[in-house]
Amino acid sequence: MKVFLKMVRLQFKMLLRNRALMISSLGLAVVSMLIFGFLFSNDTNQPLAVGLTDLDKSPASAQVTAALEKNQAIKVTTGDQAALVNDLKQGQYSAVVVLEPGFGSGLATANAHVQLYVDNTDIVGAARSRGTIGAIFDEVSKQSAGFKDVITVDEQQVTVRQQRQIDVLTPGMLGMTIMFANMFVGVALIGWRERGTLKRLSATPLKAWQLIGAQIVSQLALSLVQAALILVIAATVFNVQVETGWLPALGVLVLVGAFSIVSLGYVIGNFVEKQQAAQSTATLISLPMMFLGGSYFVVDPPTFLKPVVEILPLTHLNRALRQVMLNDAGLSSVLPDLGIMAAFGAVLLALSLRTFKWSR
Amino acid sequence: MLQVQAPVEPHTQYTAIEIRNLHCTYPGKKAVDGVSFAVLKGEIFGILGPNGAGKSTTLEIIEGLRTPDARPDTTVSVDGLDVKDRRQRDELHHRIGLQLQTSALFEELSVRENLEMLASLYRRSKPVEGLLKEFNLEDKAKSRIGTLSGGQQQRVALAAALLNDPQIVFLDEPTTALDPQARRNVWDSIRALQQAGKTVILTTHYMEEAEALCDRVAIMDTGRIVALGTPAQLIRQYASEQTITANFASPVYRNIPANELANLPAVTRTVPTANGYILHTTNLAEAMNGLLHTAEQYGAAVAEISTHSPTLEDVFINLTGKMLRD
Ligand SMILES: Nc1ncnc2c1ncn2[C@@H]1O[C@H](COP(=O)(O)OP(=O)(O)OP(=O)(O)O)[C@@H](O)[C@H]1O
Ligand SMILES: [Mg+2]
Repeated sequence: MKVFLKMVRLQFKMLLRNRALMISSLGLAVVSMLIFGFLFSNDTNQPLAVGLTDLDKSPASAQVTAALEKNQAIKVTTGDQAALVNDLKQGQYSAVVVLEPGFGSGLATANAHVQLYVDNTDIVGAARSRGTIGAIFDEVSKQSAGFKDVITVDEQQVTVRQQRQIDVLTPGMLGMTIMFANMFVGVALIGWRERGTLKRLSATPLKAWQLIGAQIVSQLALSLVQAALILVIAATVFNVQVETGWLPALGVLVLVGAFSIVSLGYVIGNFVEKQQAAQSTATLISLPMMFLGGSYFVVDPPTFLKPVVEILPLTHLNRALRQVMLNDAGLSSVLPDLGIMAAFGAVLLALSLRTFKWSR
Repeated sequence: MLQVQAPVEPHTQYTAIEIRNLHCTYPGKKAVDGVSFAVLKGEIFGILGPNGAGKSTTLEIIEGLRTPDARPDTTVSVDGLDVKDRRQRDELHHRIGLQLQTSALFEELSVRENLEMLASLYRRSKPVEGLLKEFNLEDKAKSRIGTLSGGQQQRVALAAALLNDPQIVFLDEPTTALDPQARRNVWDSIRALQQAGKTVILTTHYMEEAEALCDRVAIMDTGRIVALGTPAQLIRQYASEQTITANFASPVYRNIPANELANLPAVTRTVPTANGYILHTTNLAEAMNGLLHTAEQYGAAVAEISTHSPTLEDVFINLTGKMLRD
């Protein structure tokens, strides 16, 4: 046991020193999230959808309503305050404007109040709404009171539970990172075999299962670290909702998913001779798996591809992660996915242990 | 012509290693072809041979790293353990220390980390710091293995071979790629091992190394042991002839009839060269006398004369018709 723990520590150290692996596995996820999260999340050419409620019903407020409706930058829908805010929460509007009672009379006393509801999870959308609507009210202020700021905008922040692109993408990126972090174990193994490191180790009392076990445990530990990093980035930079209640389920999924991929990586390490060839093989498997497994978007494969998609461990990892993060599912409802990943990993690991060679 | 000595009778109390009828066939290549020998406790035993002779393969089988051809008459016994029995290999690996010809430790780890990792695998191990000091590796303790020079890596491998304080140490070409000073240091370390009562079995391409270090030497060629004994025995048995090379000042020496030199007492053979002769002899003094006397008779002035005593190199050339390193 002491031997095993020592091996785990050293293997983990070696993983952390392998900068290329750390950067490539995390990097692709972070870059993808940046691209999809920022560039594609808000289409700035479309007019903002804005809900409007006129509680004042004065000539002045009607005039303002008309001015807002005429503005090209926004598309106004009028309606009941409660219904509009509800629709905002569903993601139908970028903002809701409420002209408070006494708005018209307030214009004369510089005490006109407007409430602006924005989606605080959509940083860019909220800023645009604030800017556009604020500018329109400034215009109204100028016309009615001659360059005096007579309208006060009270901002209300609303948390939208709408599934944005980044919300759907995050579990997929989590799965993809786990795949890239573990797929290449075989490459390291072959390197040690080519350089004679494994042969040297085989001349000590070390057993194959101790070496493989230690490598797997350190890979699992690394996967947890990387998953935590992705979640922290998703929550802080992209405002993705991450509930602490999900963490145990996410932890289990990450561990079982990593186990299934690491076993696949080991099979490559045992059946391919040269390090370069193993690198290409792992890449050749992981790239299609990344798309077919639904890391970027949920796939609906044609019938002939279905069996392939369903056997891929990444499919089940992504699916289960989305169930937890998007639908609040517990572990019990993703048991089939967990079972398939565990079985996939166990079969391949058994195969690897049986075919393990210390030297060519 | 080749007479291989019968292996020493196995008395485990004196024998560290005993090998009989070892064969090893790679796909399409017989690397070891019926090797038998025994190594005594406390001995430095050398296996000498050219590239591809089967030295490393033989060692790796004895170390339990490679399985020999399955034959009922094959025996591989180390420190009383049957190496062919998989279950005894664990115990074997606790007891032996070794250095492989081409083995790298973990490139991603430092010298100290590698040695500590290996040390943790054994029941009992020597302190890593002491070994770092002994092999002059203290400055390099924190360096990654991948950044060391070939000779430094060799020293780390040697230190690693001694981590578990083994009674039997296997060294596959321990001084290849070392500079002359480092080679002497390794020789000293190996002699110190012997002083400490350990058994050392090593392979080498260097004759002078075998002569300087080894109590007994096995000469190996194309998978077989072609001679085995102490360096002195081998030289006496396979290269007893000394040679005299004589160069003459002028072509006058050509007047000496060739068979007159060949018939001199103690001279076995003469070989003409550009400016003289090489005389093979079993008695240097007698042949030298005869040569000088004959030269004087014919008025041929000797310009240069040199003698050569046989070494293991000559043993090797005589036995295999090959140079050791080509
Ligand atoms: N893994 C292998 N597969 C096939 N043939 C091999 C293998 N290893 C060695 N051989 C062959 O077996 C023969 C003996 O090799 P071995 O390494 O034992 O020689 P050696 O005496 O140690 O040579 P060197 O002095 O070059 O180290 C060589 O002809 C070599 O080509
Ligand atoms: Mg060799």
